[in-house]
Amino acid sequence: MTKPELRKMTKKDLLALAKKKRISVSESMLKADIVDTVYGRLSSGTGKISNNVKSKRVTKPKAKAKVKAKAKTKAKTKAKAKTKAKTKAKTKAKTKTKAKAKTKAKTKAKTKTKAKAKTKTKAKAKAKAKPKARVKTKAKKKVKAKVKTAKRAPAPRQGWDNGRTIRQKAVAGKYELTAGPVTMPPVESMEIPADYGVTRIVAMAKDPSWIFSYWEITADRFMQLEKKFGAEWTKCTMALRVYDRGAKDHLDIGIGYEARAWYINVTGGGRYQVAIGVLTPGGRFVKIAESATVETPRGRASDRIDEQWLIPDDVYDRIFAASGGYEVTAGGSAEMHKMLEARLEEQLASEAVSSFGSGELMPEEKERGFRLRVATELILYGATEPDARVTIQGKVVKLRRDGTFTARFALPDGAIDIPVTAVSGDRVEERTIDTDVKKKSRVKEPVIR
Amino acid sequence: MKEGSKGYLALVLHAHLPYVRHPEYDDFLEEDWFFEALTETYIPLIEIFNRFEEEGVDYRITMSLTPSLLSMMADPLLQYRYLRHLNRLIDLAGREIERTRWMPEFHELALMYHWKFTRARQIFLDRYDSNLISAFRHHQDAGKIEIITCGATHGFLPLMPNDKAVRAQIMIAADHYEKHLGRRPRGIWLAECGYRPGVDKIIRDAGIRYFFTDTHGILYGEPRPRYGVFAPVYCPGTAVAAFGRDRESSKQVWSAKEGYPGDHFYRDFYRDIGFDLDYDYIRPFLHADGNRIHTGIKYHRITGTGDEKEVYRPSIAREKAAEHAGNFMFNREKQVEHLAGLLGTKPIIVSPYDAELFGHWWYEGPDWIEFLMRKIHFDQDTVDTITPSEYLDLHPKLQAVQPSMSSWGYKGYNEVWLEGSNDWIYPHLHIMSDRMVELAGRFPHADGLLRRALDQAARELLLAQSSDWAFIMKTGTMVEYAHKRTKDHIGRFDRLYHDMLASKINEKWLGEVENRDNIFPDIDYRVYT
Repeated sequence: MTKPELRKMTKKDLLALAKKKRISVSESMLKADIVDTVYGRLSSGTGKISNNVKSKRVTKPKAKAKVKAKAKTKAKTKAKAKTKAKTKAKTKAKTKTKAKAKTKAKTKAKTKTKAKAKTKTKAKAKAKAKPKARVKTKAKKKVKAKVKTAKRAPAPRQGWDNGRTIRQKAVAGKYELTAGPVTMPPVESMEIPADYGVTRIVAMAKDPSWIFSYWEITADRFMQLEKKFGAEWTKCTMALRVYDRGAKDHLDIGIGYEARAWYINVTGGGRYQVAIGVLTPGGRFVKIAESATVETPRGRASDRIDEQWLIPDDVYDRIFAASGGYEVTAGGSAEMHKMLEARLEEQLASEAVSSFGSGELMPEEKERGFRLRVATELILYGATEPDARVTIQGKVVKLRRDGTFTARFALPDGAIDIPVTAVSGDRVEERTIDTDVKKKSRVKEPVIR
Repeated sequence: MKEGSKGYLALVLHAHLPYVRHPEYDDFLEEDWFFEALTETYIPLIEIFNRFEEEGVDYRITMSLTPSLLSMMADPLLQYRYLRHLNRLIDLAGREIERTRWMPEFHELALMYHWKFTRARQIFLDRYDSNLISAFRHHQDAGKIEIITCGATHGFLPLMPNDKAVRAQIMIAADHYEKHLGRRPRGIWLAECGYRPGVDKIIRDAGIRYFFTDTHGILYGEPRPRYGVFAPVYCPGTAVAAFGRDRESSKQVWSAKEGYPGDHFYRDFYRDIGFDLDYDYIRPFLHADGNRIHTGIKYHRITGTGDEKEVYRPSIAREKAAEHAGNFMFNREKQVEHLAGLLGTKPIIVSPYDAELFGHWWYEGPDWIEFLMRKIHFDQDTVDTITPSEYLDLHPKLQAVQPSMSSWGYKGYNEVWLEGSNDWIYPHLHIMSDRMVELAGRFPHADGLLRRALDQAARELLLAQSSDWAFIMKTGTMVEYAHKRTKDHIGRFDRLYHDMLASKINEKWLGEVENRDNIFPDIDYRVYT
């Protein structure tokens, strides 16, 4: 088949064809992608071998078949296959399939209680007082399950968007999308260099009072130095010399051989240079490398007044105050920090949060206290004929292809009446099952031991 | 402009996310940052701008859209994944509508989320054909919002001693802006408000007229600023204007005590069904690792201290947002009146915020902006909203003041990005900058494979320079990812550098790296010359 021919087919027919040819596509894929996939497989010929026995062997399932119906189902599956391949099973009532797995399914409508702690709760006990949902499924039924290995739809390789916009792709399938295009091999983990083989020292201002400096001295350079100093070498120490270019003064800091970086305390509004070198026992500093000049911010208002824009001092003072000049710390937002902290204290969920673009946002996680939350949900499920129309409390429920259905509700305290009505496809017969549920939970006083 | 107005308000929203795009994985947790911001912040803002346009509300908002954010908005893979993300959310919200049938208060909220997500999909897909940049561009062309740029990858400039590295951040940003928005940028948001003397020369060379600093950047300027932070200043020698942040208005939004977002009727950020609901139920909506995450569906309001949270009531929260907008406007009127008298001229109040604050963190934030702009337009005549460009056109004569090195980070300088947790990155970043300049000098006219390697080396350097990584290392959440990203870019750069010098470029590997780190497809490494 050619691609245009495939394109003319309806999505339904395509899915049928794909199924027939054993090409794994899913209903949620866009038609265009199904065409691509089917065409790709047919033209490569792999689609054709799918009907023979070989492919079945690949899909030998292990007994552990998960029954897809989300209702609580005790499933015993006997399968002759022995491979441990992860399998997904679709229960298909009354369908003859060639799969050898047999599933005995016991279905019982049962409310499901989720307690978040390992605490026995009254709610749980109560909830077990079964609702009387006597929908067909209560009878034991043998369900033949078709077992299928979970195969990923092959990811289209290059140019997955083929020049079409997302809209063009999505509109065709009512916003539905295919599985994401995974086209790249996993990333190698990059090793970063420990050093760069360059003797250098760099200094940067961190704030008005601190300079950060880091350095690298190559092994060669060390050897040269060792040679140069000879016997004296062992008595020498490594040191940083911090030049205050404004005050024409300097300060030495002994740093040892292990340090690679240093925070240096200075005063604001100055100009500094940092040199690294060797301090001899005689007090001589032998420079190895020197940084560029660093200026630290002043950290307060300037004393210089612009004569072209002169105003009285008291007016300036008021403007300075109105600008926030007298507030504790300049800039930043300690307030903001506090607020988020306050809110985080209230937080129960401990999800990590982060934000970008702002040094302002600095939420911190707080230790959470002991907690217990209990909620109850009710799962109502059942089965009828696939062409029937089912309502729960008057609202239509979507049936699965095999006529089963599941609904899940958050269950508040109180009494709830849940009528389930099925009308046969020919509209001749109507059946109703009423389920009454009562729930009450009580919060007891905490016991502190 | 309003007749007889006494001053201006410049609301500035800084919209940024680091470039996170992982084609090598089918889904990737950190890509959610972008998706959440689209749903909760950027799309709601676009909707507000659209409503203003339909209803003739005159307003001005300045917005920085960083090059990395623009790149993500324009990226087909991320567009596709966003749609997939939205589809899942809509599915989840649909299930929630059913599940909450017997709990009317929650049911109403589930309906709201379903509607909002569906609406977001309509805006994203039907109205803007999955590229939201066109929406922002439209409102800029209409003269209502002014979009400004930012360093190419949000690099923190005070810790970039190599001027050529700073130059590349700014030049690439300006070109990228022009490509996506059809004109040159007039203003720039310096990442984290991080300014150091000298940066203004490069800003001028890029043809950009103004930038912003935190309050003390201006207030501690040299000489003393005559108008405090209520008028911009020109940097001496370059005549680039610097606008200082107003503290009073920013405090009103952020203050621990009286800040708006902490109101007990606003939606609580932390209670999310991703953490609250039964694991089996929520599992299909989590990532492959199965860890619980924020889904965006949250049913509670802040309430107060303590464990018990009340159910969120959107109508009350909206009322609160209106009330807070009214309060903010009232305070600006008073502030402007007071300052006009004190200064003897019209003050400009510059109020910059992270865009993500509105919507993502403070859920009602977009409502607040909408109410604020409407009220300013309809209810008073004291304050005009304005963009910095308009201000500079009206008031070209400014004092020359050299701004101080500063940032809006904690304590006002570089500490957030330079401390024990993250200072290890700088020896790498600096030598990469130096080597990039060296490479650009050594190969002035490269083409073919060498050219590709040089361009890619520039991309790796830029991506490594994102201030976000240092920030994350400091805050201590998602640290592993920040480490990985930093190391990957450093490592790739290092390999490219040595491969180029040895004339042994591995084309296959280079191709893979180009596909992964595909930001700035039109980059020209010679920007480092």
